[in-house]
Amino acid sequence: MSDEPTNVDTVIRRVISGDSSARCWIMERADTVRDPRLLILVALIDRRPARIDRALKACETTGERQVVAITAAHLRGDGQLVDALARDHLVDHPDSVLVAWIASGATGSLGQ
Amino acid sequence: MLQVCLIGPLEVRRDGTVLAVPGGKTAEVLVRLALEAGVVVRAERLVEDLWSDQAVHTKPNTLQSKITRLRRALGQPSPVLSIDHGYGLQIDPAEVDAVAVLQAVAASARMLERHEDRAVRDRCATALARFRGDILPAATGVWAESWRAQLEQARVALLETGFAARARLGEAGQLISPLEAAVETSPYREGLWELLITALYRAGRQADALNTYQRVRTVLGEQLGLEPGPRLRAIEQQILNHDRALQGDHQQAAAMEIVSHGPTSSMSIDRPPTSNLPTLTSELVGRNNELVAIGQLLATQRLVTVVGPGGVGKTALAIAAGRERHHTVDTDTGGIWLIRLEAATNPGEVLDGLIATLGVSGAEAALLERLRAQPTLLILDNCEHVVDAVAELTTRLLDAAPTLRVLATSQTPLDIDGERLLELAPLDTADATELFDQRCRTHGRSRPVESGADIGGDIGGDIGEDIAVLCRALDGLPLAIELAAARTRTLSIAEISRRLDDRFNLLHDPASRRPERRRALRSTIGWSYDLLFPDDQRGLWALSAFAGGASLAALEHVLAALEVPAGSTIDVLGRLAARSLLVVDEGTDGSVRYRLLDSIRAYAREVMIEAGMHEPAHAAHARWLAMVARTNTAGVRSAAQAEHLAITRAERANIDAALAWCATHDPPLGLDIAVGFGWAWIVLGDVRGSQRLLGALAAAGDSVNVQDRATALLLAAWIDASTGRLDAALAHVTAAELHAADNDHDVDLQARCWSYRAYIVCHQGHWQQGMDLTAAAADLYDSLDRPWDQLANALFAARAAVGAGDATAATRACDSVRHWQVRSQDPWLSVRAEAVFGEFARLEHRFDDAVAHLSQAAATSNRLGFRQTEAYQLSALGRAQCQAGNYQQGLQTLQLAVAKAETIGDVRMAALGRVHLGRVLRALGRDPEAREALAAAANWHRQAGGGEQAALGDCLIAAMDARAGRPDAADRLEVLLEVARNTGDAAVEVFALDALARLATAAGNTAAADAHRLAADHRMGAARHFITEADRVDNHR
Repeated sequence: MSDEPTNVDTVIRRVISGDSSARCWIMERADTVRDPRLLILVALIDRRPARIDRALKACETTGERQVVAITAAHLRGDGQLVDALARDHLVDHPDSVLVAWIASGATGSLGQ
Repeated sequence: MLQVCLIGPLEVRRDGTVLAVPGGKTAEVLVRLALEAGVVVRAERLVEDLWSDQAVHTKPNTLQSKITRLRRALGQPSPVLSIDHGYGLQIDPAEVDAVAVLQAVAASARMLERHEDRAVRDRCATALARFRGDILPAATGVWAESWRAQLEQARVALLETGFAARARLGEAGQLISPLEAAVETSPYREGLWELLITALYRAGRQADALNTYQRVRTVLGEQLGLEPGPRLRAIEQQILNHDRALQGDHQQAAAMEIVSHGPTSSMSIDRPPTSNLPTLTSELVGRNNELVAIGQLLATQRLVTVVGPGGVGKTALAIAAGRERHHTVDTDTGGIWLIRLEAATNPGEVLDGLIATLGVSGAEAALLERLRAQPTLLILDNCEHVVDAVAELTTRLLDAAPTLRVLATSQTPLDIDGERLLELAPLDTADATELFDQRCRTHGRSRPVESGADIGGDIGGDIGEDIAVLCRALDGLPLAIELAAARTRTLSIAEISRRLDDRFNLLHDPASRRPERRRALRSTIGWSYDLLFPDDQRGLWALSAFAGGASLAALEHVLAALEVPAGSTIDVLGRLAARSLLVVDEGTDGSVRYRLLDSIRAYAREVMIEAGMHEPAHAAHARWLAMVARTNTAGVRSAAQAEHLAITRAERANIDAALAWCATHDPPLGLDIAVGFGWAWIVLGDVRGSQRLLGALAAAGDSVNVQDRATALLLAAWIDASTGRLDAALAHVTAAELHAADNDHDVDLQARCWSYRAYIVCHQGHWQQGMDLTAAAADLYDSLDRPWDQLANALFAARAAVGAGDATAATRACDSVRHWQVRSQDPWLSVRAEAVFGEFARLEHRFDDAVAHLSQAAATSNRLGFRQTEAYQLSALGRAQCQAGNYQQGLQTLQLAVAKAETIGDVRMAALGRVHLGRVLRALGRDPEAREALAAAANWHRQAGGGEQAALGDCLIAAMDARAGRPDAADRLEVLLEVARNTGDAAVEVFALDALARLATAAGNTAAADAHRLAADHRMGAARHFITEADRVDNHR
């Protein structure tokens, strides 16, 4: 994998599927990647608020800002809010794998 | 008489009796001959047309046999003539429906050009009624195709012409559906598209109008490879520019009628709109009894207050009641007006809300005058937070205007005499459930069918009881129900109920003194708020900073200060609207504004303050208005005037809110805002502008520079002068001049001071001083590049010269006006220039020219919406018409001027108009009416401590009293004469001298009478531009 992957979706899918090499790859580049979805992934793995701030700054679309909000609620442990926001987001962005994954509660394995 | 109908089944009548005509070629021969009624068609041609495929084999006797059968069918004497190897049908062409239709097309087009709109409408309708079915069904030959095409074209042309006439007659709103159908069947007919787009625009559907333009553009582009024609493109531009010319010929025509004919009865239709009630975006559920009750109460009571908790639906009910009354009761000729008071914070802002909504020019006195003039229903909405101010103002209004009715909505009664309360209870369970169902449908989801169903689940089983339980938990409050229903897109009923239950339990406080219902509403708002994305929550914060709704651009600005990117704003608004947290108001000019309901705004403000974002939001709000203000004066003085005035009107409440915030947080910014909007307030006749300017100036203290301070003072001076507060105006100009004296290098400021002072002294009748000041200002301006200021100054100079009766100076000033007019595109000044030319023509006794100029000025003012200016110009026009010899027309114009002044509550103008009206009525021998008009004017002049032509009014009353034998009349005339001699008021001198001469004659004092008459005749020379010999009723020897 190169430093700035051309297909962010692939990275996300590999991390979601439990590919530890993908997880390591992204964490090695946690301070240099610029894509907001990758930064959200970093925040989910790292669970540090500063990561969320950086992801928010990198966002260019309303949808990306929504994913950051959902991630932030998730990291705060506000499951009900994550559930409600994720449903709202998925109505407009049904192909958002990242949000579906967060809403499913399966991100717990990330820290392992 | 023979009649033949070819459009639809063939029908032939002779003297009213239907004749049976054989079908086939016999019928076709009749059709062929009827279409060329009265013309002989050669037999060969008939054969070629009817037997085209076998013409060479068809023998002449075949045709002959058909003719014979036709003759037999039509009876004797036969209308089928045989002449010169041909045949003809002897029939009046107008009795052949197809021929009559073709004639109607040409005739109606000519009539339309002549603006005979009603006749066109009727003629087209009659012609179109002849289309009973298929065109020429009895003719099967190819020859008939061109006729069919021609008649189909005629049908569309008649439709188009008829629509055009109806649109001019003000029926645009009824034309949208038929025009939609017409463009569907005739998509390439640009005239129909033009009419549809215009009709949509006039119906207040600007967005639809622009979309329709895009539709026709697509149709023409994709199917024909063409661009829309120049007229369609011009209409699009007019819409984008909010060009008032697109508002409708029937409105413009009323104004233009003055130009050629003087005001007529049709002018009475030229009134401002009589209601601002919005269309309810959704049906009112379960309030039939309350609607009936309000209707009954308003029939007998003058103040009805709908009382109930927040979110119970008071506003929707009041609007529905107002609309119901608008459709069923025709006594509210002054209109039904909704005044939203949720943003008002003090008595001044309550009054402002009323004045702005009714389009009154002036302060409370003007409002009272307006309400006295016509029966009106005011709907005062959201009174609870300014209940004392509303109660006091309502009391004054009801006392002053006997035909006024008020419908108020409030959480608490106004508690004033005569108030009738209607306590609005929450919805019962059945209605609440119905509302929930309806709103679910609105949000694109049919009623959820299973309590535990996931999104989009459709498992089966009715959950009516679950919804009923939820609605009961929401206390039957419509707003709470709407907020919950708005969530059914992503949450099931069970989830909504569970989440709300959790929240109610969490917030339940047995010790709370807050009413249970208020807690339910607040909890529901809070619940809905908590489920929002942070950007959307900030969207609510931003909206809560606005006092009178917000435009998209303004919200983008404030949201940016709350760290939400501009690009997200439209998404935020869309989501808030989808969750019923936001109201979208579409203005009649096509503008869109976003607003929060009062309960939601209050909640949003609270959470914004808790989040510590209150200050940045309000600072951004004020900065936004300062930014708009910065370009406003230049905009109002340009061709884009209407747009900038509309912005100023729309932002009135926001400007007040921003000024209030700036007074304590950023006074210099507040002064920037006030100064920036100052000129717009002048053009709009917003009398509170002076108060705003002086308030901002006081708040700014010493922190502002001399230029800004002096500008604020000059603007305030103008506003005060235009509303008759001349002493205050002079004081402001004097203060500004002191600043100018301290900065003797500031030539521009000095010139403005002189020019503004000239404007004020002209109001006092000090014409010579006005001329001197404008001359001095012009000299200074010559060293600057200030074409607009030069034009304004030249106009003051012309007005002063005309007032002084100085034709030489007036000629010079009018030349200067023409010179500078070339470099100005300001419609407001342009219309004033036209009026000044009219006044100048009058001075030179060119009364026909004066009528032409003043007619043009009044018509233009009408078209541009300068209602105050229009009233003034109509008053001048009425006088000019009298001087041109047409007293009846002049009388009508003056009556119209007074009516217009009353409609906008311009009491000063109404009084001036009544003085002239009284003079003209007296000249026409209608003394009782003259006395009534003059007494009304005198009454106002007494209250106001004087006014333009007050002395003339007093003199005319005294003259009438003298004629009636009142003993004190002579003394009053002497006093008036003395004052008039001192002020050079020649007209008053003439009237006073004539009346005194009459008294002297009656007393047998011939010498005194002759002396008075001689003096009067002498002074008439100086008054002739103002009055005529016909006015000198007491001089009729």
